[in-house]
Amino acid sequence: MPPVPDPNRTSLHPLVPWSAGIVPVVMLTALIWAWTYDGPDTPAPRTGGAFVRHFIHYGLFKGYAAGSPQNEQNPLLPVGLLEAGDVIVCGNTRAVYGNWSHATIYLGNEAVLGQDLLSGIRSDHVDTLATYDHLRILRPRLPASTRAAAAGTAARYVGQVFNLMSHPRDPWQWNCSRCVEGAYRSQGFDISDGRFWITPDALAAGTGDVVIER
Amino acid sequence: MQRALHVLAVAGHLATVQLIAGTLVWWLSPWPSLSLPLAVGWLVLLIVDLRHPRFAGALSWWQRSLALLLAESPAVVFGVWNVLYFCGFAQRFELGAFVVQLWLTPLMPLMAFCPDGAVLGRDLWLWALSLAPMGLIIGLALASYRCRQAAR
Repeated sequence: MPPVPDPNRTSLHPLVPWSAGIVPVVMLTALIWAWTYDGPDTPAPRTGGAFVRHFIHYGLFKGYAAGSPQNEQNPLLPVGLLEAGDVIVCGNTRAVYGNWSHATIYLGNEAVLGQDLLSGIRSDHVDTLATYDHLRILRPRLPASTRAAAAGTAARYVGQVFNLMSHPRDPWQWNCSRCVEGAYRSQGFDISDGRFWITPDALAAGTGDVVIER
Repeated sequence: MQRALHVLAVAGHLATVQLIAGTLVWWLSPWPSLSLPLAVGWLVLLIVDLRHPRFAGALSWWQRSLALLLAESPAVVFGVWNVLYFCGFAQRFELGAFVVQLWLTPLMPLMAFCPDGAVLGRDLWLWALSLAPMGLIIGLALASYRCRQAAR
């Protein structure tokens, strides 16, 4: 005689409770994996998995995020020295991305590309970078016309989607370093140091002459 | 009690589908011709799942909506926070904005289709992203409003 079904019991497919356990297990594993990270706060590791572990450990557990400025007042940028296409890397102490926490490109006319999670990609005045403790201006060893063309490409990223964790080769979503790298890649040049994650450190270590550093 | 466990199981299941979809979409994002269909496919799979009598469809409509709300809760909370910040009613909270982006990774390729323009000084895609969790819940709840009930 077949069993009589319980009218108060709904039959869920066995896959549902099994798959329900995946998210907590993955999250718990990832958190323990990141919690047990014992590497230094800077520089950030170069490889993909180690970088993510470092990112979660210092960003989530230690609360470093993009770092915070240690000085109230920094000198303004020497605008007269800047040329369109110059790469500017900026840093605050203990940013989770590495020694440098932000990268941008000089667009000309005292404007740089500004990016963040709550404002997207926009054009900012260079003085907005004065809040950073450390700053380095790099000039890729390329003709001025190529650098100007890269700046023009970067200007077209304004209003596009900003995604902090965008894939290094995503053509539609950008983060600060990828805007700079992508602008030069569109001209056929790789100005990073070749690592998988394009970070401000990857640009600082890439091809370019230091114009000024503070 | 059993119903509550079923709601939790379905919420976890939906979150797992989202986690897997997000990983695949991120991995394929250098090729929009692959990541876009995958993003749309994820939405279709959610609807099928929500309507299936042995998956989320095994629950009543309001229980399904509750499971959806639970599955999307990280994005809902911080999406609302983003909107309140845009309107000037909340403090800036970057980690929350990051959680919204991370949780909605499967939807991120679709954000590129937002028209240019800004409201209250914020790009339209930022509004779309912040409102997407609520839109997702309402849309999917409506899409699964009428479905076969579970075999009892």
